[in-house]
Amino acid sequence: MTDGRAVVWLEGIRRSFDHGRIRALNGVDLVLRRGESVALVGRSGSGKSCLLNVASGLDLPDEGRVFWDGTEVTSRGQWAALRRSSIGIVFQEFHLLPTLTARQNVELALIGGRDGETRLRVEHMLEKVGLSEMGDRLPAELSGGERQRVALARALVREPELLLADEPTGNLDSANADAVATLMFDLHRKLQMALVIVTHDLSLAKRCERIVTLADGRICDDRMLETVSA
Amino acid sequence: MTLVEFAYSNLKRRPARTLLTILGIALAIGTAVALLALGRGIYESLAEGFTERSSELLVTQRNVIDITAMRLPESMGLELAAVDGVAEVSSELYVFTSTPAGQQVMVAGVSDSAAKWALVPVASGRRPDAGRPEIMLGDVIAQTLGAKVGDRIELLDEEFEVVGITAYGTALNRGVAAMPLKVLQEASLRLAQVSTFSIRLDPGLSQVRKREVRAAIEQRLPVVVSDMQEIADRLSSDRNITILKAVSNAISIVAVVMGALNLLATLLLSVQERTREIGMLSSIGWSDRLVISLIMIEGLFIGILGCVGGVLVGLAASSLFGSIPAIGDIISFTPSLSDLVLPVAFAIPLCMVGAAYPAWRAVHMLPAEALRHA
Repeated sequence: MTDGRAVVWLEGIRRSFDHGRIRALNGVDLVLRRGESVALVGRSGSGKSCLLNVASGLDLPDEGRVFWDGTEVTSRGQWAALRRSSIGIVFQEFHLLPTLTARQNVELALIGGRDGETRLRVEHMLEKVGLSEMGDRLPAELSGGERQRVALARALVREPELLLADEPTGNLDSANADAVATLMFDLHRKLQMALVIVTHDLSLAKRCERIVTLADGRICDDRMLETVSA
Repeated sequence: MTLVEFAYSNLKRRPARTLLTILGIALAIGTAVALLALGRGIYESLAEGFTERSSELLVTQRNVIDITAMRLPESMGLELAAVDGVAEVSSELYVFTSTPAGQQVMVAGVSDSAAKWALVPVASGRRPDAGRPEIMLGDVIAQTLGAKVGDRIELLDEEFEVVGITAYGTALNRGVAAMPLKVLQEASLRLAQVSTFSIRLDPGLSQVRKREVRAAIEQRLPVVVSDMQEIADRLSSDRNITILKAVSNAISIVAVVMGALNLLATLLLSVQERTREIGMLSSIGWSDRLVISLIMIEGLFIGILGCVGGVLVGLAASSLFGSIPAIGDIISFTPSLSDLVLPVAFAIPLCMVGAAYPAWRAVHMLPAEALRHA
């Protein structure tokens, strides 16, 4: 799947909270390559979600540099533009707006675009996640798995180069978790985008090509799937 | 879905709060509209009152502003009449007095010229006879005094018979009583004194010639000659009216600022509640500018609806005040276009300022921090 080219390159990333008392990331170097699937695993508080936030510009590091396609990204504006064009993010909590329909929640990611193009893209993506018949439903009328599919459609409607998923199945029962994971990997292959999943679920992690393990804000293991023990 | 549609849907999520904020702004704008109409109404009522009572030109004492304090010798009328171009001169004396019960009355002494009295419209009864202790009352002052034709009222320690009710249209004149000049001069101990002269010029005079006549009068006598527009202009700069207008303007500004603060508080609360949602919008690629635009559009929506409501409240309040005799009989209370436009023109940018701070608050946080917000 991967062509070996770096999409995101993190170099010497440090990030602390509470005036330096909590060190979430403590000198992380990581390269994410085009088309690969990566699982970020580790105990709670090991810095997985923080690393994902820094890799998407949702958070900025105290020290270190982040490169996108070889160009250093330094400003919030640059990151916003990248998230608009090239990065999709899915969270454990779906973050859907309760008063908007599934279709409108997906449209949110395209606000400001051309109307006709927006409608086509949204319908296309709803079809891809299997919700073309449920576009007019409010989130309250959808199951947990369906809500996560809406969130996935919203993240992918711009066809990003990188999809970051923070515990995407953490709020779902096993059947729905499996369905959402299958859909996610299927789209990852079809759209040929890099996929990074933060998860505690080892079975989900094992579906990735590469597993990166964090402990105490550092990468303690980074290996391809065939070398990971069960 | 467009940004505007999304902003509208956000406002619909909290309909009660949105409506209350709109109502708060509407009340502020309505107050401002009513106060501006009040300030202008006072000035216009006076100006219209002078226009209704006077002829072409009004002669007043130089360097005296209060009309009841003006003291011109009645004999000056002869000098005025002798000026080339002056066709007719009449005089008036104004005295501000009160009844034994303490009710204040403005009394105009009208010279015995038949032409001058002919300008006093009669609603009922008749005009007073020259030299007799008779008085006509404006309908408002008649109502205030509880007097009707045939009654007797006491003013300036003398008794006068009410022989008629005037039919003036302006609030000022409806509150004025009128009696023969000589009778008022004697009763007020201002023999041979008048407050103003009204002048009618020869018909067909050119504007240049009219200015020459006025200049000739002002050169010879210690007076100011004004036409009705100049009287209105001078009234607008009268100290009391200026103070009233300043007070009503100041309260209007306070009201509109309160409306904008109301909007600011509502949007701040809304942004606070939606911190995670704004974090989510950032996570799907919304730029700071787009988030700010969203909050500003929400503020603009509320501001515009508040202003529309405010104009309606202002019109309704003015109509209500105008229908209350104690107010409407004294001051004309009809808002002009400028009374409606000014508060709105002031309020819309102010609402934008009120929305700008919550908008800034919405984007100053990092998206990850916003998403963690409880």
